[in-house]
Amino acid sequence: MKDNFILLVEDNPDHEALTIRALKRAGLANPVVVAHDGAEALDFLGAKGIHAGRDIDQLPRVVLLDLKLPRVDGLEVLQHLRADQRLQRIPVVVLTSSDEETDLVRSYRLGANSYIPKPVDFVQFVEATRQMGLFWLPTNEAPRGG
Amino acid sequence: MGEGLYQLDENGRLVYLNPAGERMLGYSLTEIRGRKMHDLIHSHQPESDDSPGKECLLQRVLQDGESQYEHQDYFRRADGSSIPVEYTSSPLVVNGQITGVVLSFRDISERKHAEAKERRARWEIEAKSTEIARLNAELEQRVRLRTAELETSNRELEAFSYSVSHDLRAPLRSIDGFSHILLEEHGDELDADARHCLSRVRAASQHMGQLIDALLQLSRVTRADMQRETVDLSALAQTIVDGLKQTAPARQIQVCIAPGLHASGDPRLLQVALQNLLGNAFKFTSKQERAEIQFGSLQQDGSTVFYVRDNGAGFQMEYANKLFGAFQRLHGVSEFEGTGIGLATVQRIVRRHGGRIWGEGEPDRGATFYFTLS
Repeated sequence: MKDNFILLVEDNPDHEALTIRALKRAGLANPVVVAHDGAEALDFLGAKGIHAGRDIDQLPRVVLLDLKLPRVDGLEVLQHLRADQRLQRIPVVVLTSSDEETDLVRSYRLGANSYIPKPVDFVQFVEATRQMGLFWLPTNEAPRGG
Repeated sequence: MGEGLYQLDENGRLVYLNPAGERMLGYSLTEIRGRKMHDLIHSHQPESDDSPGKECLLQRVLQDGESQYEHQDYFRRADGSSIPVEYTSSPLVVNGQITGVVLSFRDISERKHAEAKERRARWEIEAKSTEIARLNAELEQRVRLRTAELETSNRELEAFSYSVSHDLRAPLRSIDGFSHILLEEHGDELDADARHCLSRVRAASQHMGQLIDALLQLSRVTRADMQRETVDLSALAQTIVDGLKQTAPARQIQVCIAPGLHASGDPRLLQVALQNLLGNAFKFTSKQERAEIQFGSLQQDGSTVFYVRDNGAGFQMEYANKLFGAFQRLHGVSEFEGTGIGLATVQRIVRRHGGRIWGEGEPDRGATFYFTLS
């Protein structure tokens, strides 16, 4: 897998499926790696724990980070990413469930690059995902998805 | 009772006693003329202080020749009882010689009685004041505790309703998302009825999403810290109206915003309030060919009353008391979409500013919402 993949950190299996579909709909065909909580995400990025043995130099193009995660939550993951020199420059797009969550993350100044809201309306979510892709994954040449 | 009067010679013997004095002492003059008055009525009194230290004023008068006044003492009556008295003794001087003493006295039983009563009354008042102060302090303590309890309970309720509303969104996204995908990707495998059912599922989940958003906003309005600054309401209203017009550019809308309207309040909360009121006006005039919306103010009983008026669907005044209930609607969902929470939110905001809000309307003739902010 080249350094072309998206790391999606999301614990809700429904939302995982919807996000992957939204990415496809938005025309982004990058492979998606899913971590189901913050600890797994950090394991993956550090090539340890359940992801020991993977090529540590392979880093995601962008991290889509949900905030509410069991064990290690989104803010902690963000903190780790920004503190680690090796991982600092990976763009992180935070998936927020409300304006207040956005304000909260902003107030922590942990350095999230961008925010995608998680609206109830799927169509709106696809559009927000598309906008995210246009910005962070511009060299994507994948064929348009369904 | 009058004033008793007696005259003594230079040896302290009774020369004269007036009728009032006779009555008060219980002796007739003829009985006791020539007797030493001090021994008869004054000395050896259990109540009077006959100790060597306290000299009888009488002696002093006879010696010094100066009038003396005693404000409280006791005389013994003929029957052995005592009366409390005040008296003045003055010397009789003839040719520079003190020849006797005149003593006038008054029964002060009533005065003493009144003094005792007053003392008692004062003690009672003090005791009652102390008791009242104690009860007050207790009451204040109880109120403080109860207020703290209520505040905690309120905060917990708000936190609970907030987190519930927030968390309800997640499964709702799933419902909306997958029904959308079903429609889009498998729509041609489904018959018209199935597609129709799915779109109703979607519509319902989106409506629920709006309800949750409105509830979250209402909860935020209650929880937020209030700032107070001068807010330009005219400018705020203009911005909101511009935004509303953009959502339906084809509509003919005449808006009249009075210039220079301002108030002291929280800018974010006031924005939410005006957004709701103007948004409602915009929504409920959607069926008019030409919508007319006004935002202005008037003076009533010395305070400023703001109003938002429209020429839209209006409402029946008999339901006016339901206008501000959460989830209460006066129109069906098929007539106008909505959550029924907007006005409840505005009312909460207005109340937090110390003001009040009320509405007037007539079906199909429009509605006016009046509010104060202090």
